[in-house]
Amino acid sequence: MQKPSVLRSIHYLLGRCVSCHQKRFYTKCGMIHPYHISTVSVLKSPYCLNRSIYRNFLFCKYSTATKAEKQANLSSSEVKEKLDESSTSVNELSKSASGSTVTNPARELKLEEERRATEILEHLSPEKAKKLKVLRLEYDIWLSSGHRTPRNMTNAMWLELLESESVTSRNKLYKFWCIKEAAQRKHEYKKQKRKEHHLARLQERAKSNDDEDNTYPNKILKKIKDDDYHKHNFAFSMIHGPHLVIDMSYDDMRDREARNLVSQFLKCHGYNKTRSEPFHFHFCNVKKDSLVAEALYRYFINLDQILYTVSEESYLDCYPQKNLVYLSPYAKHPMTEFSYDDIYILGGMVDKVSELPMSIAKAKKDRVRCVKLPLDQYLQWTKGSKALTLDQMVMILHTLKETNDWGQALNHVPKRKFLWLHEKKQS
Amino acid sequence: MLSNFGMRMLIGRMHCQHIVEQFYRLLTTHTDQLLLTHHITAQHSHRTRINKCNQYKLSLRTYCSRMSRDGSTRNKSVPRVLEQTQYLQSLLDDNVQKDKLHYLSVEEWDGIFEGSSDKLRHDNIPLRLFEMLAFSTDADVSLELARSLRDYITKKGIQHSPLALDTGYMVLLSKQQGQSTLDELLAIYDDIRSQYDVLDSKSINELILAIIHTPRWKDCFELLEMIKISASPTPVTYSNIVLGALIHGDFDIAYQMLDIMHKNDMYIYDIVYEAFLANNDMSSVECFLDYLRENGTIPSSKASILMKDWFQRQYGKEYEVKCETFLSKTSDLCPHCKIPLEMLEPIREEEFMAMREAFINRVLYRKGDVYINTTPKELKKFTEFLHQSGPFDVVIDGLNVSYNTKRKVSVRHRAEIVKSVIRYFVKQEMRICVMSKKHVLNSWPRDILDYISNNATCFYTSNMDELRDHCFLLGPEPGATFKQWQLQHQIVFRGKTDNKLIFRWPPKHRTTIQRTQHGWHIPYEDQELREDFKPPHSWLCLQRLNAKPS
Repeated sequence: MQKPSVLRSIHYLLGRCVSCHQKRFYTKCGMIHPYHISTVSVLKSPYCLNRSIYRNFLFCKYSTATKAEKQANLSSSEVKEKLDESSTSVNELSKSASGSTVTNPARELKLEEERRATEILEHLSPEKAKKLKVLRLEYDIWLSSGHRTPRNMTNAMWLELLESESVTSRNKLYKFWCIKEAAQRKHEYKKQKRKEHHLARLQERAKSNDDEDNTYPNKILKKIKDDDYHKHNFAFSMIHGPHLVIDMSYDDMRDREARNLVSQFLKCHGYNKTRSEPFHFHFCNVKKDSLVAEALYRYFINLDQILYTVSEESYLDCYPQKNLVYLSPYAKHPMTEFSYDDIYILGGMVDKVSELPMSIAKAKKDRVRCVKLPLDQYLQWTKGSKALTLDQMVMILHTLKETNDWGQALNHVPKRKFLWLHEKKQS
Repeated sequence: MLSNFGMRMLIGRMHCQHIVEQFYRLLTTHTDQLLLTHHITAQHSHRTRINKCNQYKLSLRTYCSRMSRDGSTRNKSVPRVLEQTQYLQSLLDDNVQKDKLHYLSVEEWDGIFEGSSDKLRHDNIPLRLFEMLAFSTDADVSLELARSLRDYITKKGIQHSPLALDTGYMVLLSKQQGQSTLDELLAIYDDIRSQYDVLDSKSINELILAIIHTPRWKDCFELLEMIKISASPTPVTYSNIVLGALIHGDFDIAYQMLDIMHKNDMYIYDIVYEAFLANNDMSSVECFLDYLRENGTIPSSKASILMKDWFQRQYGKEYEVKCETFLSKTSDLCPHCKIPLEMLEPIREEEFMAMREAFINRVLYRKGDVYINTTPKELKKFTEFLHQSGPFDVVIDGLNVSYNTKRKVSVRHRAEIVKSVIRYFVKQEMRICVMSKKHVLNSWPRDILDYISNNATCFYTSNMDELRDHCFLLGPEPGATFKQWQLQHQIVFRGKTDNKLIFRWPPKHRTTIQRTQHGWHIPYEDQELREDFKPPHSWLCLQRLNAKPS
């Protein structure tokens, strides 16, 4: 990690277009507007403070033209020189880029799980093996007599079925997988169509301007990944706040619930990183070898590379008690405004079976202030639980922090749950 | 704790979590009730459902299995299933003449199914038709017709599971009389057993349904053990085994199975009542009724009709018989024979103590996690309060009582209701305890709060709330005691007319089957869904009067 001050300067640099000097945050092309790329010799720009960092950004991902064509199209000789210098690094970069498309981490994870499941299924106890035999028979009967059953069964699925105790629970699982399978099929069909369409368009274009300049607009710059900004923002929020504590002490969850929880974290992170002032997530009370911790490390693939804190400590040891505020739907007093002095705590749990007031119990036990969102004051509630998901909570807190307006913030509550939003606070 | 301070009555409505649980349980296990619960949601009468079932010649079980096939879309699938059965029935009626229910050839079946595939999408119509024939309640389904359909399915290579086809065919065979069908059935059974060493629960249920009619019915127990590998046996499985035991006259096994059902709180199917009451031996039927009486089982309304028939058949020749129904809402006296119903026995001391212990540990302390419902500090305060101020004659749940009005009334109106309830009990010179929450102190009018504190002992909680799921948390035995205690002690405040308060008082009589000198008193389920803490109101009074002059 680099020092924050250096990152800060880059941030400033990257914030302006090199050509027109107008502000340009969070874009795909980084520090220059795409329509200025071919006209400006970037490397000469006075804003380029650190050339070594800069060189790393050089790359041509989108170009389908050959290297010779590329060089022919370059207008500026200086750029040409620089390009020659860095051609080796470009090649490396493009190699690594093409490599990364092959090793899709999500697919890797799936394969890994499948391997694990196969291994477990091979070494089953005799009773479990018997049960598996029955389940396979049951699946055959259901499939052939027109029940709603998925067509392809993986070993991971069998492993999950083996855990179920009743016919009803198995029926539910089959139904869930069926829906998932149908969505997958539809997605793949659409992908195929898009690919065909794209190829057809490419061919058409190649035919129509054979003689003309048929290359893509010249892109000599590295596509600056959004991550480069995010890293800086995360570092800043880690040092200066605001922090958001996620209490991971609830390990009385089933496997699927733990997985859902982590997928909520991923959504939280997805939203959090796009903000100019992200929260620093502090995962507290992560017990080693617990189901939740295992799920967290397994499904949150790049957790190690993000500047979040995962610790076994309690939040009581990390922050002053008077500043801690637990957010719980069961609390008595509503939250009034976002305070930078307070450290907000969210309960990291998904309970689909029984909704118990666990989070307020924890707050009472730890003698931490406990507040709820002012849902009743601002929303005409219709139905559904007042317990919101973690990603919704993070979105609400962000909007509240940025606008200080509950009306806008509570727009992140799912629309099905309320009729309308009151303009002003209702008593 | 509760016993020491003589908490005799508890006013207010309990939170109805366990009703929902019961509802769910019924929805998943109990087919008759499944129909009835649909009846609630779909706003159709149960009677019309049954009529429709009869119309489409479909057993309730098949009907319900069709309904549950679609999982959560149960409500939507009801019309779909009806539509489907209607269509299948019409397919048969249009193409096959009633007098010609013989073996149809492949070409004939082809003709029947021609053009039917676009009628019901994504559905295997020949297979559905076979299921309909196999599980139909209609006695005169042609065996030949079903056999030809079975051959058609296998010859044509229509997607099917051979095992499911065989078991369906076995069920059909078991309904027929005669040695040849029996031999065929046993041959298929042996074939299945030799082919598969383990089976799934659906096939086993169908095998049991078929095998109980044959001399090899004792294989049921082996099959029952086999179910337990993948699922837990359902009440319908046990009911079928009881039926099998009764067909072969083995009462010991029947009672053993009934014991298991009682232990697991399972519903007894009507086929069991039918089988028991069809017996001409009077002592065995009375033995069965005594068994129900001991277990506190309340029979269904259909069973009550069967019992009535049995009584008329048994005594009708020699005596004048009177069979009447009555409601026990108002009095503890049978209006027909003027014999009072048996009085309730108070709960035994050791049972109560066990429940008390369980209540404190599992409900209040929540098995170690006190903070879910309350805090240790408040709990300590509450126990001290009970020690100092008890015992009470009546405990009033203030907020619950105040809530028992129209939706939009003023706070003052709500408070007035609590005041009037307290006044009612003050007049009877009872010691009253009012439980409420702390926010009441700020919102309710001062004068009413003063009245309450002058006439009753009050306890206001700030944290303690949502004491739910009692029966579940207590566990099986203390839970049963709790239900009984609730039945005997809970007064429900139903509302207030001009000057009168309406209560539902707890019953003073027992709510099980009762034997009188010349007959029986039998409570039965008349409502679709009766909560556990509500007594059954409908009773059947069976009595024999004078002997007929011969």
